[in-house]
Amino acid sequence: MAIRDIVVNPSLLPVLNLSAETRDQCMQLLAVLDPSADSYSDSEERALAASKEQKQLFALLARLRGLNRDAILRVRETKQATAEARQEIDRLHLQLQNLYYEQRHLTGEIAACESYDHKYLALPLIPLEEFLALHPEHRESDEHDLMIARINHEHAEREKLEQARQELLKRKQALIAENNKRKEDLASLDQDLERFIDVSLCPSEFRTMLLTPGRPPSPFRRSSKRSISGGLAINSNNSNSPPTLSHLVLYQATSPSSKHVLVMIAKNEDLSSSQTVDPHPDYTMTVSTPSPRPPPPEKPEAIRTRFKVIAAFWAVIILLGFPIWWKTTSIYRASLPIPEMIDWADGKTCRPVFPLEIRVETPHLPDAEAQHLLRTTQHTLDDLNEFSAHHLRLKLSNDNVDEPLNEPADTALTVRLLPQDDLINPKSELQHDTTQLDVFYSPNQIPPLSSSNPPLSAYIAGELQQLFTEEKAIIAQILSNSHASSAAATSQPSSTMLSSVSPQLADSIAKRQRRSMKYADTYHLAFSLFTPGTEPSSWDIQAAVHDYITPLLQAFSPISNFTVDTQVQLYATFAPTAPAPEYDESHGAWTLKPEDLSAFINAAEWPLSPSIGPGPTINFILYVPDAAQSPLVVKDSLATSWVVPQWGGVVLLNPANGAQLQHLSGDALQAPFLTFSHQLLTLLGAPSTPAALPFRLQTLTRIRAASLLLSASSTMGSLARLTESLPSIPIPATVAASVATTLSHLTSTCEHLRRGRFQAALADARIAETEAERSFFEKSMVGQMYFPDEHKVAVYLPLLGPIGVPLIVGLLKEVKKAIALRKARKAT
Amino acid sequence: MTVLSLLSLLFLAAFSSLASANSDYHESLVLQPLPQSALLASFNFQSNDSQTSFNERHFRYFPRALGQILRHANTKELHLRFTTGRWDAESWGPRPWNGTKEGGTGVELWAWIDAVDDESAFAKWITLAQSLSGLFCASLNFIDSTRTTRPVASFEPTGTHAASDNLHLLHGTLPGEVVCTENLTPFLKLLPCKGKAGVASLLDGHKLFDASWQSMSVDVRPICTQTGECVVQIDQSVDIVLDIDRSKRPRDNPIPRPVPNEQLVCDTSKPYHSDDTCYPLESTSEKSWGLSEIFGRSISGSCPLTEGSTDGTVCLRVPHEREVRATEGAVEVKKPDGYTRCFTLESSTPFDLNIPEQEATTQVPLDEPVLRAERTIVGHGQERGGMRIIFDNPSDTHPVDFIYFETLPWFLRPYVHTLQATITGRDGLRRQVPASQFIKETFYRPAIDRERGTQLELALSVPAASTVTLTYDFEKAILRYTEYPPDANRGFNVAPAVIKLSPAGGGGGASHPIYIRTTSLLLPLPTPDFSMPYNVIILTSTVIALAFGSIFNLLVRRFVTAEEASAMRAQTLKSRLGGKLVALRDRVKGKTAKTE
Repeated sequence: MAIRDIVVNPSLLPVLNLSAETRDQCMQLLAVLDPSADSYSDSEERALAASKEQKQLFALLARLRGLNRDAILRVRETKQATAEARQEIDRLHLQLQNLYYEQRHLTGEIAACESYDHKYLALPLIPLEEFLALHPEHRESDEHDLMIARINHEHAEREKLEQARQELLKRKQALIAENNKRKEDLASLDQDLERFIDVSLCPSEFRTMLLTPGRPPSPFRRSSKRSISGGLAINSNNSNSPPTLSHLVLYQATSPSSKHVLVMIAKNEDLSSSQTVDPHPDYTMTVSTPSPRPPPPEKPEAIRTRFKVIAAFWAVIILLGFPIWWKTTSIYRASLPIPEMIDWADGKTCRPVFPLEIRVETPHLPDAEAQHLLRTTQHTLDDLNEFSAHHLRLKLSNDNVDEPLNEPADTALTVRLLPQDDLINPKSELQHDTTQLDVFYSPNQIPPLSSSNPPLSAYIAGELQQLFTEEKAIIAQILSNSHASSAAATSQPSSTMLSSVSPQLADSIAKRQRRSMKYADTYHLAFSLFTPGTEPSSWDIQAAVHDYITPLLQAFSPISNFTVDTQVQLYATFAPTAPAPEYDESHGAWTLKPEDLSAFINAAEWPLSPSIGPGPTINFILYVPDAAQSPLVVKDSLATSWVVPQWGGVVLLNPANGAQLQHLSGDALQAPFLTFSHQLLTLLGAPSTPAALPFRLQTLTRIRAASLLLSASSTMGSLARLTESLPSIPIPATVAASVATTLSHLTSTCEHLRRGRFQAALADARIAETEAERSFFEKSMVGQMYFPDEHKVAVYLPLLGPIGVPLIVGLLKEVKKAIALRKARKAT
Repeated sequence: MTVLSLLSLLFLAAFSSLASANSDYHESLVLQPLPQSALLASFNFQSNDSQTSFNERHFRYFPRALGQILRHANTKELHLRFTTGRWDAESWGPRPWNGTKEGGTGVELWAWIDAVDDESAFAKWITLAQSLSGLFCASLNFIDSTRTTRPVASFEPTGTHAASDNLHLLHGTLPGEVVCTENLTPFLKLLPCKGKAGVASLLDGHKLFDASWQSMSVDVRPICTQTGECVVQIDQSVDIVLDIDRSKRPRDNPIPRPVPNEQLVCDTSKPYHSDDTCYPLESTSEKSWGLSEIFGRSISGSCPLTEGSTDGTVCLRVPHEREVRATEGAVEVKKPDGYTRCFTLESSTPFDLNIPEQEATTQVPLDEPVLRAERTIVGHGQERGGMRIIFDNPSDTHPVDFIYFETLPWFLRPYVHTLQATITGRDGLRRQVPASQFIKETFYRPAIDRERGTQLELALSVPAASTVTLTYDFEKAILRYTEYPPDANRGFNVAPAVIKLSPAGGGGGASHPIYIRTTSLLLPLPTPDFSMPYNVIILTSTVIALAFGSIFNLLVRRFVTAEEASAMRAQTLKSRLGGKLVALRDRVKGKTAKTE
């Protein structure tokens, strides 16, 4: 096949032409080069021609190559165009295919719709003619509307029918229930009758009724007669058929009241058949309840028996049960003289008075003048005194005959009148170691018998009044404190007394009252040497106690007993919570703030446990600060000692030259122990004036007697109130005995006070206080508190509830009946 | 057996040297490593106050709180012990202080009280126990008549007492008491230096009560010298056996950790020894320990009151060639016995002691105990049981004479006629022998229910190289309902028995007796169901109420027919309502008999 036939593309034709041309040129070149052809003369020519031909050939070849490249490029372009066109074709083809599928699906759907078989076609509708006859207005409508109308009609009809069915069903259920009820009634009646026949309470009547020929012979006839009063039950369940009386049972019941119950039961075997139509009115069930008759009145024997039974039960309960219960559960309560105790507490029984006897020794005066002086002085004293409970009675020392039978009163003070020549004004001096007041006067001051108010007696009276001012104030304070709540009448004098004393004095008395320990038989004194380091570890305590404390204690021995303990404690540091002392530059000392003094004592660490045995412990602490913190003082006041109220005293001992002492000698202890003895007096409540210790102790005796009397009285009152407010606590006989002892001693205390025998009064008051405390803190009185009444009820209730209710109801009924009977009798 | 216990010698020497001192205070600490990495630390504090100042109540070294109690209770000599744990005599040897300063588990108290007769002595005894209870925060107030005995031969007064004193020995134990920190704090407060200086500064409740065995004792006795000078001596001691490994654990991380693999020393000769299997070798070197490591703190200087005493305060019993590092400044004195070295402390510088880990070539020899005793409850059931006491005499030559003392609570009723003895020689043969062969003397005081317990004291002799077993049966009483403690099912503690070895017999020449105490026992008693009484009350009440109600109703009610009843009810509105209710009930029950 020629190439021209194959390549027809016009763009390729130049290529073909050019290639042919090139071929020709090649041929020419070959011809030129062909040696055989010898068209040229020499080789030079030939070479020249050849090169000329060659050049032309090269040019042609170059053109051919360019054409070839063009052709290749064109082929590529063509290929690309072809590919694009093909893609487009593919897309279009796919679309076409989709359309084909869609068409096929739709065709299928249409076919399915056309072939759908609807329910309404199968509905058993009423025929068209009938419907049209019923609803002529649809005659004109087209087939579709007609069909809809027909269907609607059918729907309405069916609903109506369904409703009717439900109603009928309900009626059927009701009838079945009614049926069952009747059957049960009849069955129970059946049993009832059988029982009555069996245990017929009045069989004779029954028998006569059955056997007496005069009566209606057949029970059946009776039934027809008494069908109103008897019960007739006819049970009908079948719809359209009359009731089948498959069996008819007749009972006759008799009772003591000769009431007859006749029951007729119609039982139908066919109970299960359904009921769709209302029963015929002829067969409506009739149920008539029996109209009952009340029982006959009870026989008197039965009533009597019942009464006896109930009475017997109650008799056992009241005569046996209740005493046993009372005996076993009651607690012993000794009888206490409650009103008397409360009277004591209210201060109604005893009004403490303090008649102080003051002896006047007049060795240098004739009797008459002495008597006169005494009288006038007494008169002045009585005028000065506004506190009636506390008064002074003057007495001549040789005047002992007025009370020969009774023991004499204690002498509170002895006044010695001593003449001294060169005196213008009288002068007095209280002796330090005895209770004696020396009054010096010049002999010319002896009042004449005629004068009514001589200056000497006024002077003596004033001195005495002055001496006893503080004591009076203290006693007034005690009395007013204790009677704060009682009647105003008793506190009247003391309050007027209180108002008369100076506020400073009253204040200091109140302060001392707060600070001083409560009275006790025995006080334990504990002297402790505390030091934060290790030095000093010993002290001359034996000598110090002997020198400074023992004389004081001996003086106090009539009032209280004392024991003395001492200890040395090293490494006694402050509590970690206590504020540390601060260094004060101005004084060159470490200072403790006054408000921090309460935290000074490290109660947790320091062994300051109270002493064993009755009575409070008074602690005295001698604290030797560390060398690094010395000297240690209280801020502002720069004091080194203070009293802890009702607890004890603290003294800070700063070594003189700052050097630590290993041993505290007697000299070093002198100052602290003098402070301790002073603190002890304060803590024991001794008055601060006058200076004479015996006099102060006498005052203390009176104060203690008064406060003990009042405290024992108030304890009695508390005990009385306690026993009244807690009726469940037992009161053992010992408490009653203690109370009796207390009251008798209180009485004698009061009597002693009135007679001015204060030592004896204090002794009695101490016994009274001890006994009062013992009775109040009796241990066995506490136990019962833990069994409250609720507890008892919880234990008794399961038993008493079920037993008590029938008993009480029975009793109430009997009582009611008895009352009714009495009324009825009265009416007749 | 002939070797005298060096430990006791040391203590006795110290005791005799101190006893003569007047109005003084001494303290000492003896540390002795025991086998199985245990360490015995014996603290001893002794202070004297002269009898005259004691009588005048001037207390300097003697604690005032205790002195007051003793005066108040007329007590001349007092011994109080708080003990927990068990002394492992098998490995630790004889007891410290020869057992004279330890008590049975719990609290033990005995005292010589001056009183005119037994009743007043007992009253004082109760006062003493209750006061001490408050002082030591222990339940000593539970020592009542049932726990109090009057031993005849087991205890001797150790102080010197005037012949005019009418002394009564009373002894009480509380085996169930748990000793703990609250008892240590008041104990330390009794010391003059209060645990703030001196060896007492080592005592810390955390370490002390973590010990394997610990015993605290307080002894008060009057001591008179030949010259007629009398002192009242209070001797307080604390003995503890600490596990060194356990004590060295830091307090904030006390969980034991296994030894790291690299530090394990394995026995390579074992056939199963491999990389992951190791049979640890017993370490031949002694573990290192130090005071501050074991007690958690060092001694904060000596108590200044002990100044002047020449003896070392802290003594350590290890062989002399062992290296011991003590704090600079402490004077070390080596005693000639080859095992004891003592250190005297500086007053203000802290003192610590360190023993580095080193090869142990020699050990301090431990004595064989003179007697081993063991007491157990045998038998089964709630009703009966038996007691078995085993005495083992390890000596091959010497028989042991001793006094065996036990107190039994009253609810444990022993049958003394069943007391039987069995002897087992070294050959292992058991022979039943009459008990009288060993029992030389018997003191028996039977129990009275709820008043006193049984007291049994036997003077026994165990032949050489043999084991004697005593057995007897007992019956368990049934307690009253209120007598049971809250934890009744735990059992009831039976106090340990006390064994006193008379010095001549087995004490090896010591002039003071040796005491051994057995462990305390737990006795299970029959315990009732404690809710029973309430159930009985409720049940009987209900039954009685039901029976009574029906009988009463039968007696007083009138019976009529149902129709009559309804007829009567129909008369009032209330009864009409009631009738309807009755009808309803009848419909339900089908009951026809009705009552008025």
